[in-house]
Amino acid sequence: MGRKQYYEKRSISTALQTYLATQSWTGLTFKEGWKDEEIQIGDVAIQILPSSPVLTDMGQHASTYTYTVQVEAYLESEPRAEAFEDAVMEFMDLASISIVDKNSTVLGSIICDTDSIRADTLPPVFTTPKVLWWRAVIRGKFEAHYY
Amino acid sequence: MAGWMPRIVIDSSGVEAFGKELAQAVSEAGPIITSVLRYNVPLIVKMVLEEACLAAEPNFPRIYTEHVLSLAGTVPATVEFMGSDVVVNVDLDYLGTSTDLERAYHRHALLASLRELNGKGSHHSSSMSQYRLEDPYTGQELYNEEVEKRQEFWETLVEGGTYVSRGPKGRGVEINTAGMYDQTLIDRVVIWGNKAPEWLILEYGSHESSPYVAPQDVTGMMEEAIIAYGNDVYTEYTNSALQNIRSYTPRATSESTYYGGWGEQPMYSDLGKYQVRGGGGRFAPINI
Repeated sequence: MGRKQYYEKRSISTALQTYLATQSWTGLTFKEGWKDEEIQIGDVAIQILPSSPVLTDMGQHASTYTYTVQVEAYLESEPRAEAFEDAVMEFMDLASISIVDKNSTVLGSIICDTDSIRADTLPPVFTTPKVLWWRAVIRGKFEAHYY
Repeated sequence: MAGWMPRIVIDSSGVEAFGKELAQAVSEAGPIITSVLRYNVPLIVKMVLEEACLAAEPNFPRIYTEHVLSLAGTVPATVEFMGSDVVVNVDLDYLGTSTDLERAYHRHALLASLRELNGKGSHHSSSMSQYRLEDPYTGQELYNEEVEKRQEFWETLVEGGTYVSRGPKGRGVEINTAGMYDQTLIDRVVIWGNKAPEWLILEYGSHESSPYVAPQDVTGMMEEAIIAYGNDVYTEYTNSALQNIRSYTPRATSESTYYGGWGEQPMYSDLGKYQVRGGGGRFAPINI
């Protein structure tokens, strides 16, 4: 993952955590990815999909980039997974996120294409008795504009 | 994924014509563009899924790949013109939804009431057949005792090793799980039948259970591939129609005269006579 994508992913994660907190969402744990860690209830991960065009240059000045982001969470019931999806979809639709680096310098902003936002709820996979939670998956295409 | 149908718009940006001329060219080329796209879009869907299957190897099972690819080319696509734009809709629900995906995972799952979720009857009573195979899981409480042991058994089964089941007196019974995972995969594919919801594993990834697969932007790749191909088809056929129209249409014309352009209705001239193109580029009036 390039440095820009790292800052973008971290900025989206921070903005989403703040937004969900204002919507009274508690008990969520934001992770870098799933890796080999055991999945716990309330785990959330944000992924920039590797198969999407990575940092496609939209112009001569290389200041705009597009990519697909997937937000996922494991929650205890179907209604809660759906409520999470509604909250995240609203966040994606409305938020203009500032991209900040490790020194909190604002590098640019990210917005999501409203038409690209969609979500799905996946029931527990019963073959894995330790993870009998509902999986909320939300997708959207984001555009990052750098100053 | 309920009701998921990517809506892909192909516009006229590759055609050097505007207004009436563009409309006429689109009208001429429309039927062939529609039929070419309708035929080839499912093939593009299949090609993209093939790439996604390859990218997910070796974790994504070969039997899933074969099943997905055997059905991918049958995904229905609708193509329609809206003005000069072409709108392509790909019905990915036809390939399989998350409800279809879970159908195989849930088969014979035991509920806390000791009823099977969607099997034929129950291990515990032959009269417990209230749930049919098609029923999705709706959140009923599950029979899920000895979670650690069940998890251990499942992990052993995936690896095809030997699981030692210990009874209360400590005596162990060895269960050879070799081949059981392959059989599980075969059973799932049989249950899915003419649906291939495994494509959702490629799309969303699978983190909690084998096969562990990273998510891919399969639908995004489909959209890109269809737009690229659609633009080529649209531009080629519309430009070809445009050339024909221009070669048949004189430079200076009267709007009330039929010039022989394709698809245009014959019109009456100011003299009330139907005109067709005659020899030497002149217009020969025909009394009607």
